Amino acid sequence: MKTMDPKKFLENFGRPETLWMYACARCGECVDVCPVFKETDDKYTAPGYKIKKMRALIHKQLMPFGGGADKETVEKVAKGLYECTLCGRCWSVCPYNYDLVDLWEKARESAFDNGLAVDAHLQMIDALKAENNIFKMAHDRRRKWATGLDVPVGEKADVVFFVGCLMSYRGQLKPSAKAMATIMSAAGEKWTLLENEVCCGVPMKFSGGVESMKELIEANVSEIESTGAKKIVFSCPGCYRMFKQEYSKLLGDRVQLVHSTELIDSYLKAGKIKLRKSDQTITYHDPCELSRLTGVIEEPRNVFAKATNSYVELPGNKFNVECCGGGGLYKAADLDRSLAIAQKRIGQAENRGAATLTTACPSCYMTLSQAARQKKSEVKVSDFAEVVAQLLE
Amino acid sequence: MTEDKEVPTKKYPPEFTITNITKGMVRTSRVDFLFHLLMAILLITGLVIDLLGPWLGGSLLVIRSVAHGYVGVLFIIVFIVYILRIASSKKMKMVLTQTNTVDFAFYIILIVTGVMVAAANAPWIDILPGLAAAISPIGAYTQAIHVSLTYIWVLISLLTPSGLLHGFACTYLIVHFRRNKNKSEKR
Repeated sequence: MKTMDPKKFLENFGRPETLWMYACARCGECVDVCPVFKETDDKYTAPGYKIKKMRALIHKQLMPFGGGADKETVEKVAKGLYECTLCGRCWSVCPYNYDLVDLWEKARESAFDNGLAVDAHLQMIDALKAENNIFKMAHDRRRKWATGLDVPVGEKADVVFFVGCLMSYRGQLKPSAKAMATIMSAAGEKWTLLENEVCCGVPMKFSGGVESMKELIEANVSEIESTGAKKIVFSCPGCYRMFKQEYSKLLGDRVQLVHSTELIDSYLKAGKIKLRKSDQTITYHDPCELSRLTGVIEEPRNVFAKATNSYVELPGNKFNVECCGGGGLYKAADLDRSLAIAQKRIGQAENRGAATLTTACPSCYMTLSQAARQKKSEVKVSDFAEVVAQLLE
Repeated sequence: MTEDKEVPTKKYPPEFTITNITKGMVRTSRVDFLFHLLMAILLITGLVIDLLGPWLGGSLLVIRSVAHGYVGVLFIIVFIVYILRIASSKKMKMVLTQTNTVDFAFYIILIVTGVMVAAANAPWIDILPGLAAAISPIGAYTQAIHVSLTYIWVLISLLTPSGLLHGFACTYLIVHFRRNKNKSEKR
């Protein structure tokens, strides 16, 4: 059990992070757009206010007669750090272009080290250590979704499909994994699953408990290298971004990282697959990690242009996307508020007259579909790959 | 709560450059940008006048009356708009600190003394004779107050997380970390 020492909180902040605290423009732009603050109205969830409090704590540590940080403020700040979806909307409006997502992740590391992590996150870390997945389900059940499919496993191939924990273990999402497998096979791709895929480690990064992340990364990298693949495909933007940020340090330029939306768009452009057009009104929710934080914005829209005669855009989309409420492990920290945010998004889809709300992220899918059920909405939430697979000619 | 702002697409991870900051400040608030720009000009020209005055020769008058004086008038207008903006903004009041409030008090005194120094013929005598009479005893000290208060502000704002510390932090980041390098450097 880790103990809290207020003097050591944010001690992991190096010179750049410390200086950023002072450089903050104090314009409050981030406060206005934060989805969690809009829902809670608790100032400790407002990005600008958290920076103000963190700056005060650091200033007290730095000044000779600062008096030291007080326990109560540290606890409130840490709670606020976990009441965040890490969607990066605050960064998107920051006039100084400050990497706030990186800041929140670093601050969470300090909160975790000081024993201030959320219980649900600690349980996830324990599950990861025990079974290499966040659900504490047996590791050998990871590929159960592929039962009945002729799916290549651990073979030498050009492309590796990195499935991720959510799609591997959540019943609701297993059809999405199957859909992706169907699309790749239909395109004539020489692809494979990893023999021993483990969690990419992003839940550890989000919770701040990064100690054991390296083991997971090394296990996956070794598996990937054994296949000789030149490309890795992801359906989960969380895994995708994690690979771009952390795995690319080990994999270098040898392996190309692509999201399923990019891959499907390239298949359509190359004529490897063809879609028949649906008459349903479809809309698309941009996952924050995919659109804002990795820049995949137009690819899914290119696909919808060939998949439906009636595509409508949601308000607050593309780079300026409004979070579904399920990012950054926020759902594990405060389920009710997370779903309340998602219900707003469902409401926006209803207002646009959409019959189907698609998304290309398993976490967004889970959150939005749960919110739709709670709201008794007639909007059907679907996974991007599932929609595409249903329309394959 | 205001409506969500549409911002142009930015690249992640972000780059911290003077161009990005300027664009961002102008996009967020022109008043904020002008406030910072004019304050920087006033501080630099003020220090030049005080520290290099004897060596400036004929340029001293130009710097004093134009670069410091007229820019000062502009600053007053922008400062009033800036303060009104803060007063009417819940989010700005939330993120500004007590030291920022102390800063604003300093600026108000600097503005008042600055105007008294600049307007040697005291045009307010006819409009506000009572006030003119009340402040006339400090007339002889206004310049001293204006200058010494600036140095006091410089000192205080180097010890508290506002003013100059904020400016130096920005400058340091632009110079040393603009390409997100050296992320692991210690404090």
